[in-house]
Amino acid sequence: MGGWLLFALYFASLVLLVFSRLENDQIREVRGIFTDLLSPILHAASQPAIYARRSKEQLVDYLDLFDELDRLKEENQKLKIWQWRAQRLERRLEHMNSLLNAVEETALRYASGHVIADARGPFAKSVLVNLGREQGVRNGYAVVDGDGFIGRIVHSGDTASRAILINDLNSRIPVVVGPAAIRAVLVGDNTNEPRLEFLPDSATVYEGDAVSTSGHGGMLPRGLQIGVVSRSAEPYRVQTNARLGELEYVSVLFYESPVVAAQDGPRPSGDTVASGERDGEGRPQAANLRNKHVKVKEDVQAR
Amino acid sequence: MIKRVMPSAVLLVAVVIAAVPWALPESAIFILPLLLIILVFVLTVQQGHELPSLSVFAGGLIMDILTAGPLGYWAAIFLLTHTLAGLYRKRVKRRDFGGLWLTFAATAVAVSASGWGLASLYFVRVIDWQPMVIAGVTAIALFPLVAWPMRRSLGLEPATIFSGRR
Repeated sequence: MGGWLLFALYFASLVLLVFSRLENDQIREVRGIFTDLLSPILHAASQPAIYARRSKEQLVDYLDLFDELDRLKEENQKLKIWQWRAQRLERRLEHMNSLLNAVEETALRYASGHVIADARGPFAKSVLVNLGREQGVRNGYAVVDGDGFIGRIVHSGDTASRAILINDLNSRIPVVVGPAAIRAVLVGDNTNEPRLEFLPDSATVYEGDAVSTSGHGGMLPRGLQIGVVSRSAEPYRVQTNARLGELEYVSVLFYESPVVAAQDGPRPSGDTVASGERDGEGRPQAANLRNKHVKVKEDVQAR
Repeated sequence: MIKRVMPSAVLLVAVVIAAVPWALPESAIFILPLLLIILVFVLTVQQGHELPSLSVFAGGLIMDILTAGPLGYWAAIFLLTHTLAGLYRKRVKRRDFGGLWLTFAATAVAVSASGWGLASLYFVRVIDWQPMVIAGVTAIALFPLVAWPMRRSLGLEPATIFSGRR
């Protein structure tokens, strides 16, 4: 009996592996249901991990306090100069826009949550975020953290969503590289640093060139910072600004592209970003949001 | 009843803990899942209530769901560990800790190699073997740390582990 059961379980594992490889829709659906069911448990279980990480960071910060203070003073000086330049450029841009009668880019809304599970193993570089369809998250939406673009949503459950990271084997992101805005595709290969592919033959890429999303294909907003070129010879690789292995808080950008709308169907009525009551201006009440551990900000320009 | 359910419950809790984001370095991505094979091994080898195959399969499947890998991968890896540990449980009558550790080392090598082979087969390309080796070696090194308190908590005196008596 035991032998037959074991054989049946091995067989079931192999069948599931084959169906997963064939990207069976039912398998994906069942996985989504179970992810939703397990997300409250993961949310609770991730709290000690988050606390431990924060304690470690605080300890390191405390030990480096004086060095950090010197560094921040120096950085502050540099930033003051940059602030002055940015303000000057902003005024100039505003003036030029008014001369050209240019259309303003639409503002993006976003919801922020935290990572409750990350992928381990050879297959996927992804994270599970405690934001789902209830908070307005849909498949295809871009995910960023404080350092820049990190990936996009591939499965949105009711209360949790799976985001594929830019270094995942299946990730392909249209990007622009350097000051010349050379078009390329950022290809994940499960390593720390994704590759740049499909660069024009005549293109010259230098180490340190900034890489950001190009917005081509309409899936992602334009101009989300990703990282810098880390190799000046082929294959060109990109060192991401975000530390993909240590993600904690992330934001999902509600970017309404025609491609996402076609794939995912219409958004629920009222553009609900989080369940719960709204105040007089139609904004969700802060108390409800706190209870859900979700911060939602509206009409904020994407970073 | 509690003693019968305990091994399955311990495994399920450990699976959830292993999936939580601990901010491990990239080279260590396999370590937590492979540490679970220590648990599967010990819970299978232990005296008294054995870890049921169904729980092993379920634990692997949950791991697959939480790690976003293909369903069946960690289930197959856990089942292989369970099978090899089951052989030790049935065949070896006089146990000592050194022999147990050696058996686990052989199991960890077999499991790591199978995991790497299965993943390469799945992707139809040779995947990076280094994280798997790091995880396998770590699992072998950490085996005493996990096995010792586990067996004690299941009602065995620590001395029986090291004395070679059953």
